[in-house]
Amino acid sequence: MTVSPVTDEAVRRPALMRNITRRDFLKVVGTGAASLWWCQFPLKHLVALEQEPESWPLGIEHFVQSVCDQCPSACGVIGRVVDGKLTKLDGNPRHPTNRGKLCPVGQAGVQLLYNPDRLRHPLEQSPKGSGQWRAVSWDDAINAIVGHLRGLRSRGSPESHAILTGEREGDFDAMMKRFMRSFGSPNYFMSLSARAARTANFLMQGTYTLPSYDFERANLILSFGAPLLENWHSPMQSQRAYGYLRQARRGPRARLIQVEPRFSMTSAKADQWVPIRPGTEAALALGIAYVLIKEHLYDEDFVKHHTFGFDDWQSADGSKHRGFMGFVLEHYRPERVADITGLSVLEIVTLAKELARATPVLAVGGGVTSLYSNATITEMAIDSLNALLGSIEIPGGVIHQRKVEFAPLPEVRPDAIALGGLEKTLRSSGGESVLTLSSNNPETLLESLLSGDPYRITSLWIIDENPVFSGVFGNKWREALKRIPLVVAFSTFMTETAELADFVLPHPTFMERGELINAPAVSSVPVIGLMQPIVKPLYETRHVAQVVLDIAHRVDKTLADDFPWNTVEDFQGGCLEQVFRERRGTMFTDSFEEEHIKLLEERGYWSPTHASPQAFQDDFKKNGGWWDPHYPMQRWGSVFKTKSHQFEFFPQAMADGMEHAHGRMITSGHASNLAKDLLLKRIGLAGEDGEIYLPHYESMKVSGDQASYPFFLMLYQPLTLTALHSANLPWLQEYLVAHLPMRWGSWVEVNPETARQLHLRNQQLVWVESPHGRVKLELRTYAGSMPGVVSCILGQGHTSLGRWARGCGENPLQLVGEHLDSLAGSPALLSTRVKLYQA
Amino acid sequence: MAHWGMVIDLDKCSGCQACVVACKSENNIPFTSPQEADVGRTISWMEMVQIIEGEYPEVRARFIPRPCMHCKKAPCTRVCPVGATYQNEEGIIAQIYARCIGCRYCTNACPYTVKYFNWRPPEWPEELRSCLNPDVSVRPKGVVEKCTFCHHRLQRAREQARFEKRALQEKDYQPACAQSCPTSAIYFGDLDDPKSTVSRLRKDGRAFTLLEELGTEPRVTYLAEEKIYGRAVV
Repeated sequence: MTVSPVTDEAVRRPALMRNITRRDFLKVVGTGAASLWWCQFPLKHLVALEQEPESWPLGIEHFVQSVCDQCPSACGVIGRVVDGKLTKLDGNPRHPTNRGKLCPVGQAGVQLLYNPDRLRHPLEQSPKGSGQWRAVSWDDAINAIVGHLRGLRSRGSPESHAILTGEREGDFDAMMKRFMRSFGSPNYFMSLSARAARTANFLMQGTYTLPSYDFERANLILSFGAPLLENWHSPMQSQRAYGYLRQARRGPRARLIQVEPRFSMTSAKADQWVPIRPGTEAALALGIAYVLIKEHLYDEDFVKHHTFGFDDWQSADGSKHRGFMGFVLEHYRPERVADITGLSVLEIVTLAKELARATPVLAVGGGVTSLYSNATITEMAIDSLNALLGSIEIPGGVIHQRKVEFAPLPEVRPDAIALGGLEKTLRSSGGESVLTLSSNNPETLLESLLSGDPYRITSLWIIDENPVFSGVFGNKWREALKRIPLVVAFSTFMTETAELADFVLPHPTFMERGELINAPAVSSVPVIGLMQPIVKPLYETRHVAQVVLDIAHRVDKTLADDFPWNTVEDFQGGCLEQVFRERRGTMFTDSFEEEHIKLLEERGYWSPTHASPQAFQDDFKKNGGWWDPHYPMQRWGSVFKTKSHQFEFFPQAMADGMEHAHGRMITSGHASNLAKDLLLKRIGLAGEDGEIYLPHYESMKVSGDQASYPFFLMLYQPLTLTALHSANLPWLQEYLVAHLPMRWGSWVEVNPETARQLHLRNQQLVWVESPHGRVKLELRTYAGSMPGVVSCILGQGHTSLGRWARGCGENPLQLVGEHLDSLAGSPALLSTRVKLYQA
Repeated sequence: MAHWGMVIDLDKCSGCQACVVACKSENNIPFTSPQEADVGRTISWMEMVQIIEGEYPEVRARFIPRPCMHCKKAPCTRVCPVGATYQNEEGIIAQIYARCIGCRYCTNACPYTVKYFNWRPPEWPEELRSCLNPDVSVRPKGVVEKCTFCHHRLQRAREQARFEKRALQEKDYQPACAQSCPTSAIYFGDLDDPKSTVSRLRKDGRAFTLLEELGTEPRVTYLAEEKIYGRAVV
């Protein structure tokens, strides 16, 4: 089907209404497939109806373009609306992220919109946790919230208000930040994915985002457990690239090598699968680095001009430091790496030589490797391969997206109360905080919610996020939420977290609200998509941004002055004005125009297409979004935002952070050497040969010893369960995974030989037990399971959410201990050993 | 008259099941409860078939999206006692629900198991009925249903072309699965047109059809994976 012109007004009558012949009619009935179709036009022409129903469906159809919100990658969608009802979501061919394609999760959006379990009006629970809900009006709910916030401001403790939100970038994020700044609280937290990969990128390249990869032009992709064909950070981007690399690109065929302990979809579709012992990926990366350095196969030019800490060096105070080269050559001989990883020396050397031969190549992490307790240093080791091979800022390498950060004018003017509150960040005032480099970390919030240290949080908003269910700290969150006087959950469903709130405010789905979405940095070029209501809101829902705006207007005059916008659209206008002033990029275009604009921009041309911000805004709405297809490579001055403005093998930010934390501990009364030991213990690094800053391998923390718990538990989230409410969408439950014929539930995947040795059969119920708990699951033999590793899907086992999610499968997080990757501050989901026995 | 056919490039396919869900959404296929799913009553006009072979570490996996093959010599049409399933002039194997008596001869005759019997009346919670596609009828209990190559889209495209007073072009008509495929692994077009992409790809060295030896002459062709190194398939 070709997509008709996609404007709001593109209303056309169904083809059959225009003229119909007897032949057509018979054909329709004859084929059967469309026999309902003829019900749409007045039947009196064919069959005499006694009385025509009043609201006979007219079959009037129109298409609305918008942006999907099932995951943060923000693909473009087109909704087909017939008689005011959304019947299908398809990809938007003009949206650069997905170019007309759409993953199953996006398509299941219609089941999100029309889900019978959605929240329909605001609810109040009293007492909290009792399960006694009472419908309240929006006014009452907002009055209660405003009253509480006013109290905080008048008592001079605005910092006691906190917000926790799911991952999303755009005008919503900008508004929340602005609100918190104006209100005077530093406690705005976002649950980000792959925090270890972000932290590693921050340490070595200076940006706390995921790196972008130019997959399309790479010759070899060495993926360290990156779920490129599953729930990658931008699944449509990586899947489209995969399709392109497979058959569409001219020239030599690109290869994909997947290093992963599990035979995942990506492993299965890769050219080569390298099954590696879990948690030893860093050793492999450094073993490869060893071969590259030893045989002079690395990009010496890049290393010389754009990296720091490769050779031995001396710091300003005269102390000597060992370089990456010397360190790797001393410690990562392939023989040793082979012992650690379980691979053969030949495999390691072959991988290194292939990488060197195939440039441009990409080493990609950010998936499995971000979930171990040694995640950050592992991601650093993977990143160093890109630097060694010169795969940074070249076509087919790592690139750094130039985003537009929304911060509409006028600037916020926090008053004295707000300024006082903003200074009191949880970490700066915390006495003995852990060295954590990530900027906003939900676990930091949780810690102080429980301890009440350095101060109590008395108001918490949780927006589209479900920490009670989705993290290893579920029980702690449960405990913490009970202690907070006012918890407000903005949610589309009654989630496990919302059940513990005082107020639950129904949030519209992405098909009913308007938002500007800034595609995440992982998509290589900046894309700003317009989410707009495809259908009228079904229930009494309100967009969080509008609620926050209303609250801001009512708390007090300072806040009201900082929010001179009446509606969210006005605020978005301010954001778009910023984009207008960027003087680059273009509205969404088709592929042909894209090439044209790229050519122009490469040569330094840009035509000012719009006379005023208003004209820009109108055009933006018409086209559904803005993007900048041109990426200028190798503007070295602005690429690396590290201290040395180079790629840092030796991350100075980390060394400085440690120095700082050490200093603070000494001031608070620790002896210097003891403080250092304590600090190292806290960040969980032992270092290799005293070297903690360079990328190195350290064994990860694991619950359970090998003798009692012989299997390592790999948890994975299939693409279908990526979205927050996936589990309550029947289509996704029906097609959970493709590698096993499994639907509606969860199971444990075991190597057939292992199962035989344990005298367990396929499809038998077994207990999976770790030191932290046990769950009963169906055993599934799977040839792709490594001996010694069992796998289980993540995202099932809801106790709430809705009729389809509740009680479907088990939540394996109850097996997982509370290990952290302390550098990134993120929970280590892959840190458990289990045993299996008959149930 | 065109003869419609499909080519699925398994080298590009990532097994994401976008096609499966697109088909469910487009064709008003009811979802089943977990209990019914357990006894194999899930209806998937398009299904992802997995073939896992070998033993660790020499494991091989193939993922094959499987719509109706729309065979030129279709076994299902020959056994239908009432002429409910037949091959139309454009090579699409159609199913007339009103004529089907539910004998399930065709479901047994089809070697690809693409025909599904409705054991229950289709049911949706009231809210979810809103997203039904008005172009496609809902099948009652007791009849057999199957992939139609989104035939309603062809009718629509034909109407549109007639309205615009032009001939139907190949690009006017595309089934939902092909439209959604993230890796563009599904090609669809006119097999009679020697210049069409599908005609060209059917002559590719990698082309094969499922159960070729049965002589059903499917109109859905697959292109095999092209793994060069490593633990390769094919």
